[in-house]
Amino acid sequence: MVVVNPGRGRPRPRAGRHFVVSRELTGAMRQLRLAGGENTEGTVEILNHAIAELYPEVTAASRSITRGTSTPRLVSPAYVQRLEQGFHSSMRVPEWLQSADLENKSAVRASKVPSWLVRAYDLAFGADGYLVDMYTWAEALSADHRSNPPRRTTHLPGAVPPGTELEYLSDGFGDPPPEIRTVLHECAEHLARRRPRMSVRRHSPADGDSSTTYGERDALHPEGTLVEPGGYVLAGWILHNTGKVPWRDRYVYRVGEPTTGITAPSLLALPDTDLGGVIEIRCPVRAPSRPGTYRLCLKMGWEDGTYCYPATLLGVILTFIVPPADIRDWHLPWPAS
Amino acid sequence: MTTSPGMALRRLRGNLSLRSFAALLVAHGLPPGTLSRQRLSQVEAGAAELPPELWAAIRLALRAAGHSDDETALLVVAPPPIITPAAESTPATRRKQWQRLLEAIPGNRWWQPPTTIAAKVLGDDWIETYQTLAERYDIDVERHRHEVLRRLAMDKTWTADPHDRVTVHRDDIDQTLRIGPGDPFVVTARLHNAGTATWTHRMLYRLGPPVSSSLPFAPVLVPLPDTEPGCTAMVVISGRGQVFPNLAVMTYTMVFADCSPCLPGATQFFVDTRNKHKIDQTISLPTRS
Repeated sequence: MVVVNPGRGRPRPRAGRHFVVSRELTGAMRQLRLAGGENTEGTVEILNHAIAELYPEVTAASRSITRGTSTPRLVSPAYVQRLEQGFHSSMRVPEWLQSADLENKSAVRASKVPSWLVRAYDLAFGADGYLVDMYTWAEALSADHRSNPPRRTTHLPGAVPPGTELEYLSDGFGDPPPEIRTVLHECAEHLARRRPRMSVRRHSPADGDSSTTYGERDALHPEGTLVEPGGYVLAGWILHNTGKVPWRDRYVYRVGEPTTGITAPSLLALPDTDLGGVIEIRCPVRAPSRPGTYRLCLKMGWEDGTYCYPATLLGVILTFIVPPADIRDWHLPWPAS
Repeated sequence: MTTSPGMALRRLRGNLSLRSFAALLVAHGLPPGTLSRQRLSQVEAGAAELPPELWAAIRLALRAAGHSDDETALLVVAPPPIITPAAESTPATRRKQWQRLLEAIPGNRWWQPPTTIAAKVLGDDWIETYQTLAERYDIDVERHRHEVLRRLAMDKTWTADPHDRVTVHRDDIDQTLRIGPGDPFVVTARLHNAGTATWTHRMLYRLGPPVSSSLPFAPVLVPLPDTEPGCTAMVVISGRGQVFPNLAVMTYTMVFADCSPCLPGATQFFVDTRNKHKIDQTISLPTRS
């Protein structure tokens, strides 16, 4: 094995800081397209092949757009570049971001992305369903971002009927193994104990509030972990309160619907955490039955759905790969010689 | 015939009267007054519909009453998908997909020979080191691309051999690369043909996408040298670390030239870009009145 480590003087590439989730989506689309080829004309040609394959009714003549709707059509290199960089059919900057003090104003620029194009990118550049899955939670997060401050409006703790916490959290889990069942029970008890403290108070994110994870639990389930269709995993993260605000009455919310793609509880109650404190999140997860690549995204919020860190786009994440049906016994490591 | 949610609800009611069933639901968490027995009767008969939230509440109440996930599964009124699922991967779709994609790769900054990447961003010392590595491991991405394309274009039917076996040199098992986000890397593995089948025109196939913010960039198809039983093949994979600071795993399985699997199992490489620097990306929030 060889590790190529460049050493001193090497400029570190930085992860893109996108605050509008649609831009994060087009960023991923661009990353995959560039992985296919730097030549824009060449990659757009591949993209158009995929569009024609997915939507056989599309021809070169279907370039016209009906106002207000987006229907599949062949695309031009200029369109692709403008869309990826957030210039095409620009989305309005959310109200909560309009007065934000941003170093780079382009970070809030975003395009509307049609679903048919996301599917075509996915097929064209071998995304294995990752972009399609990302579209579903990007749409959900976009809806949350329309509130000021951004907040989740469905699957809130107050909507869980008393006494049904376990059923609520384990929706879609079927018959889980004992370890998962135990954690679901613990999560339900924690949620039930939180009930007397629930109020109708509206929360608001605060400057100085900060959370960090160093990936201490990544070794259990690294990004790209393979899971059998419908398989169960107990995901985990360690969160550090690295800010100046103690954490009280907080939850993590699963972005998107609880049973779309990866199945996971739509919310988990977090223990109160003082400054410098550390908490562990244990989240039971069930892989989808359909092969592909999926990402789970959890964001911290209060009981009214308001996100604690609206500008930290993703929260904690977990990417799973459900292998194609014809790849058998992938879980068996090739033996050592 | 498809079972409607109303029919499924009727089946779950069993011998209970409409009134008793409605009371049972309320006793297990359904808010009182949300479902009258008249409405329940209409829903069962298909003469009325319920909003998805009410179906969800009924399902929760039934599960609290002891019904299983499977029994209540038909009560889920799924909203129409906002995007059609991606097509499932098969050998034929993979072959077509990567044939089309690889043909367009020349000039790509990701796939160009590593020495060129080095010349653009690094100092002389590092280039020298990398060139030494490139020569030692015969890294020629363009040659790999041509070779993969040639194999994908082969018009031949392949059949898995039950006596086919592979082992990995013990030093190459579960390798972990510790690098910075976005750093280039090279990983090698020695694969031993431990069966009785000769490996010809085979490739390693990476499961999942070629890159994401949390997954390293590395080729999805890597040509494997033809290898006789008892011999060892050296595989060289060059790539770049993921941009997020996290631990990621790349899983490769062995496929024939038509992208169908040769033998069971897989081998994995780990890429670790974690560090203890602060990762938080919180911005100053707008002042709110």
